[in-house]
Amino acid sequence: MIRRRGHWLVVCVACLITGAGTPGDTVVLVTGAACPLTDINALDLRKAYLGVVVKVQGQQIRPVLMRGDERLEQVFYQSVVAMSKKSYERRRLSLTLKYGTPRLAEFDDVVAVSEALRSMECGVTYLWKRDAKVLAGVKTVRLLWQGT
Amino acid sequence: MARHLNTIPGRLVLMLLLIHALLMPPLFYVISSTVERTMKDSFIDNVRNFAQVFVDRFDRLEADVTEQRIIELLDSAMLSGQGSYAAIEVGGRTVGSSLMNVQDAGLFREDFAFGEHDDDVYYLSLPVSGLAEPAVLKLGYDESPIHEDLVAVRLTLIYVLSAYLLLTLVVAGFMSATIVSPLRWLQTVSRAISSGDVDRELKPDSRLEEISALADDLERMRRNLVGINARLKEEIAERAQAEADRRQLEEQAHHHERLRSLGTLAGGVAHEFNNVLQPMVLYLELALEDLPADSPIAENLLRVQELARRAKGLSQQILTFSRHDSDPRFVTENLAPIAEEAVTMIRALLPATVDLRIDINPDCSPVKCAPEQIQQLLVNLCNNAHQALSDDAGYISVSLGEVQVSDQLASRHSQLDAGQYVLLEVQDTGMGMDPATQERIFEPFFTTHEVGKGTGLGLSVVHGIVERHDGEITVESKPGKGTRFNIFLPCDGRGEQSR
Repeated sequence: MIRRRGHWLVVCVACLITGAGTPGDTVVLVTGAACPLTDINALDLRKAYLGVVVKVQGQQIRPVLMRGDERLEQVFYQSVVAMSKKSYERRRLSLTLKYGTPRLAEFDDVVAVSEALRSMECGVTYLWKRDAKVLAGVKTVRLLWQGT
Repeated sequence: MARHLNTIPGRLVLMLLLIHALLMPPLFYVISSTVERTMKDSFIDNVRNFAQVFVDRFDRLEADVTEQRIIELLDSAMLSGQGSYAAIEVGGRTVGSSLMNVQDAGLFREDFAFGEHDDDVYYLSLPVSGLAEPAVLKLGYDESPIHEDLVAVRLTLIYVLSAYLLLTLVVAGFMSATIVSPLRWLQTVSRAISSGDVDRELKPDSRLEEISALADDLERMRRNLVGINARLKEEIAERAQAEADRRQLEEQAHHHERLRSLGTLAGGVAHEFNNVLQPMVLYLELALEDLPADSPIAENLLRVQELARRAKGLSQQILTFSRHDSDPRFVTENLAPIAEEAVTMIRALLPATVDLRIDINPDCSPVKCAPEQIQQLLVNLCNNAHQALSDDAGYISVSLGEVQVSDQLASRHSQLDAGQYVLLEVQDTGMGMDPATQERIFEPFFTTHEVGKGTGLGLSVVHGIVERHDGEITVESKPGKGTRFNIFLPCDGRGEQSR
């Protein structure tokens, strides 16, 4: 019981630090404004993040990972790739080592990721909706998760 | 307690307990937390996969799907895995599974980590895009089986570690026993050895190299000690024997010296008496010649003459003892015929009831001797033996033989040298003598008989004769057991030379 309460405390502290994950928050999939992509289904998105080459509307999807926000990452693991963090990291490492799949680009700063998305051809990533709104040069493609 | 801790098993058990007390908690923590993390990750993987499968199913539904179909899908979600809650919110309306354990949708608090909320249910909410309106699928999975499994794993881990500790202590006990048992055996045997049981070997039944080496060293030490002990005992015995021999020789020398002094004194007196007696006897003979045969004075003079002769005989015996008498005639002869002649004379003097046993070796080497004195010696000894026999019962034995005197025997008698001797033995079964009497028997005029029965000069004369022959006389006697005189006479003529 103490251990479980400890976990709850850790998550709460993480939430306070990041200022995210409160009820009503929303995570969305964004891409560069120049990308013609208007929608992508959940299965294709999961494939892309699991290292499979996915083309939607004639465009190859280039997934980008956002780091530095534990809550956002957990939403990503739960809603996008549907596995635990450890399993996802193991899967990525396995793809890289076995098949030589390039590692995904990673960012921990929303401004930097927005610049990357603008410069990439159909790069996609996940962001809090409130962050996506204020970033220039990116557009929302899909709702990934909505807090309850 | 402290006594037990200062033993090998005590120290071993204490060391193991300390090691385990230090190692087991972190070991328990590492194993337990690793298993916990793995189980939780596995649970989250499964839950998220299940959820995604159902999202995919809902995404593929037709826009005009019926509510019954949706409920069927939600029921399917409930039956997969450990489902607790399955509902979908569509256009502000909530449709739930008919199999839900948690009916109150207000309890829904989404989790991103195992056990995030204190409700034992892992809740997820995932957007569904396949329906006519935007929808959110909400699923909940029971976490309590994982908690129960974790408790079971921890208990199993505690049992395993306890069993491991117990097994370690048992093995430690066994190992310490293999060390302590031979050590205790060594201790027991060492104590026995220190108590005097030096013949016990230090060979413990152990294959441990250190114990065997220690036992070998101790065994070598024991053997050295046994050797030293034996040598010391031997040395002590030799020294004691040497001391006893020295004392005996001193006593013998002292005895001889005393007898010699007595002999000198008695010889001097006897010589003077002899000087007086000689003319007295002579004048008596002259006086008797001058007297008529029927003179009444003659009878008295004859009695005086007889007494004078007896006195002369006594003085002659004293002179023999003191070696002041005239030199006897020494010849080299076999003693056998001399002894036989003396025995014939002795047999005639002894009563018939006295058994005289003779054992004379006729082939003895010749010795330098004065035959008359040897015969006198035998007569005196047999007379002495006869007097020792009570009621003339018992026997007297006279034997003559040849013996080799060893260094050991010679070292105990001042008058003996190692070499060949003729041994003359006179033994009786009479009353025997105590040690105090034995000390004085060779002193002149010493007698145990009542006054008038014996002069006390017989054995003194024997002693004087033996000394004159450069021989040795020994006495073995016990009260009530009889007496034996041994006379050693050298075969090589030393008696003559020493004179």
